[in-house]
Amino acid sequence: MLELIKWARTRKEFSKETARDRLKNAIAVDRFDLAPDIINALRIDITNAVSRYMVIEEEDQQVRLTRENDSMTLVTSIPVREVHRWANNN
Amino acid sequence: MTGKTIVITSGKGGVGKTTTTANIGTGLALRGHKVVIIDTDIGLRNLDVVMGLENRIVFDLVDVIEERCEPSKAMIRDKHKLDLFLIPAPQTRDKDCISSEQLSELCRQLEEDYEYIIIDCPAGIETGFKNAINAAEEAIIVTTPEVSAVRDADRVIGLLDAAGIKQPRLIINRIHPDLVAKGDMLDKDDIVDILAIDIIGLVPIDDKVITSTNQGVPVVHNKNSASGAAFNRIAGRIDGEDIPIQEPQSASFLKKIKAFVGINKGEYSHA
Repeated sequence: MLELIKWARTRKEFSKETARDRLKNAIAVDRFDLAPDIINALRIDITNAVSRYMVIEEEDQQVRLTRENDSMTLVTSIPVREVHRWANNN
Repeated sequence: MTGKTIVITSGKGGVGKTTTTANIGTGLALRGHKVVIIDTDIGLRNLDVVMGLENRIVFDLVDVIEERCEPSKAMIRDKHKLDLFLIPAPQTRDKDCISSEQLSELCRQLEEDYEYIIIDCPAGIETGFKNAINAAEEAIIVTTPEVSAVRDADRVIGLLDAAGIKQPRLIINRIHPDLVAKGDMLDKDDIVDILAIDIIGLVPIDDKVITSTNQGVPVVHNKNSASGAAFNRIAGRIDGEDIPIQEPQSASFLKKIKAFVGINKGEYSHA
């Protein structure tokens, strides 16, 4: 009997629950969508920091946010020509 | 006098922004305030018909901005002789014909003589929207309890924040109490939880909005209607009154029968 009541209660999901979950998801993605000028500002800040330690290429730099399941990762790709002598291990 | 400029915005179109603007402006004027409403939806003006003033337009917002007339010449007085004026949008001009600075300057000028300047913002997040929000110090966002409208409201909150308007307040319009009760419509708590924003009013879906718009009389004149009462409370809250937020209730069985046989007709007070 208890099983029957449980089944009856879970059988129909309220459509607003679906709406809320989808909305949360969509907004989470929207909020991580950085504006192009902000991405560029971030790229410049990162490359300035990195170039204190190494000589980097100006071309082919990439900064982007990627999403995998529920987590976001900032992926940065900066080609390096050489490491500054003072920062070298030798 | 130092007035206050408030922009009514939404991001998404069709959520009742113009109706809300007309009702907030009228609600504030019914409380005895001096109010100017500015329609900034250039090329798609609508506030004039919603307020029943479409036959009185001579000059418009761009005539004022381009100094072809004094602001007072373009201000159309409300039909009910309230201290309520509309500056209509031009219908035939390009969207980009006014600048943010020009609109701001006009609002500062109007603030010297009026207590509330209410700006009806165009839908979207382009130039017209940016001009409207830059001219205002406070913002009210209108949404409906739908995924698309709430999502756009979230975008708008971010853009307002970037423009320096830190605490916009939210109106949830066209709430269906029956659907909320059945769990088939997002409710106030769901939306507040997602947007993290203060609510300034909840407006139920109401046929009276349609009939009052047909007549060109904002529904807030009819304080017996559910939506009119809700807009009146919103005006009170904007005015600094401490009025608790009420969740819309389903219409009672008796009211449904009355509505069905048409007993509630003609109850506009025009007060």
